[in-house]
Amino acid sequence: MRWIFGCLLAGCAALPRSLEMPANDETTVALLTGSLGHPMDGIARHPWFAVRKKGEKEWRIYEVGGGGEEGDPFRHHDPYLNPQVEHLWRGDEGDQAAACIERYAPGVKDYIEDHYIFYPGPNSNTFGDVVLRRCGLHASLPSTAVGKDWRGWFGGGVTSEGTGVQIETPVIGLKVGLKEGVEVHVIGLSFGIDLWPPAIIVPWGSGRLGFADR
Amino acid sequence: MKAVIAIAMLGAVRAANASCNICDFGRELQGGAYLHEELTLLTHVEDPAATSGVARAVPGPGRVVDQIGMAGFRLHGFVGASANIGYHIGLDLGFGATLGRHGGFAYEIGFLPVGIGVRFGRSSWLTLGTGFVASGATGALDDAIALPLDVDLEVDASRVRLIAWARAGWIAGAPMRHDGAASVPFADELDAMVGIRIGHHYEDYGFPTGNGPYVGVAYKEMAGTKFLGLTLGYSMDMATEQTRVDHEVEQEPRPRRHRRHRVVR
Repeated sequence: MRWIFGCLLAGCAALPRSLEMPANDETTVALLTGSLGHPMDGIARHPWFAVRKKGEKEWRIYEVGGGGEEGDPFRHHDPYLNPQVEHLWRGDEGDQAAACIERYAPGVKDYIEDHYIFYPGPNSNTFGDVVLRRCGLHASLPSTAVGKDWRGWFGGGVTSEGTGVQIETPVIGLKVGLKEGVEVHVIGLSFGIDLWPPAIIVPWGSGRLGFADR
Repeated sequence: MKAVIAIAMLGAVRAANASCNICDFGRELQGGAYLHEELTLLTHVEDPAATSGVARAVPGPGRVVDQIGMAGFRLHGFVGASANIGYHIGLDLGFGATLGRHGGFAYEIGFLPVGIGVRFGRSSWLTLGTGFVASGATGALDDAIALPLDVDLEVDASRVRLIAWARAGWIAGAPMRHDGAASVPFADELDAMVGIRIGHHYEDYGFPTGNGPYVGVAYKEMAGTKFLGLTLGYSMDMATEQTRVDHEVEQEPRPRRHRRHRVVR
């Protein structure tokens, strides 16, 4: 009962993905997010792609404001806290994802860093969303990744998950889709309902009151 | 020519002094701010026909809204040269929907550029603000501009924080929304929320800050209907270090040492 109450208050997602680092027997790409330092840890997250080719030990990191190689970006990625695995691509999917990220992510990163605006965007979360869409990697960033839905002063299109559409302005936006559910964006804050896995989408905590997005 | 150069240099020195005064004032500024991201769900608990109290100047159309769901944020802050009193400014934004006979898109945009904030303790405060609030709902509530009186109270007790606010509004236009709040006969609408935040208080950066989720009871009186509901939200607050300036130190009953600044912990 106490856990349920705590979950309701803090915005928790049941059954999140494990933070165990996968074996290096095949190419793996991970999309991870971490929270900013407090007091913003509950309302803002930052994404990074970690790419490791088959047999390699180090992960190559693609993100705005950073990069390079790391041993375990699943547990430690300074200065970000509370890492969370948003999606994993392995095997053939991993090979394709790694090739696409290596090709497109540096250009997207350079563009975002040249035009960076902390809020409402384009920022590091815009980078994550753009790379997902450009590479056709069907995943989405959590609702606390403020800036993920930045499409300029007015924009729209297919969602990063690939099963919905969205129309956006910096003040208000709407995302509707089979896997995305219904999400309203109010000045970059996301509220909505995800039908599967079921959850209420909120712009704090893990971004969901319900089951983790898988 | 020399006289012109001398006058220009004198002017430049005076301008530099003036800008230095501005810099000093900037360094002495202190205050606090908070951001609440929240989701509020309200349902009607008393209809216009049952509402007692003041007679409505304009007959209402009966209950037009059964439930209201709003999502948005409240961003408020106050700043001043004093350790305890500052100039308050606030921005509230909410979008959502109304349900009932006339369901539709609802919005509320409030800008409170005039106000005062009184700080007590390291990160507890009471603020009073006014400005304008534009609100309405398609097909249910006429669009209107209100002159609000907004009162916010935040009391910090480390991991627990009391969050409360109330707002009475005088509506310009939209006659059907006049005299719609029986509890505040001097105003047309009333909104209020009382909540408890359970989270953290930090002192790591040399100034007080905190965050955490909160749950609260929301109340609203509008167009003769009373609403009651639940607010779920996430709150973040921060404040500057409290530094008392000369005249405040002098006003203390038994100052041990007289110096320009004293940090209050």
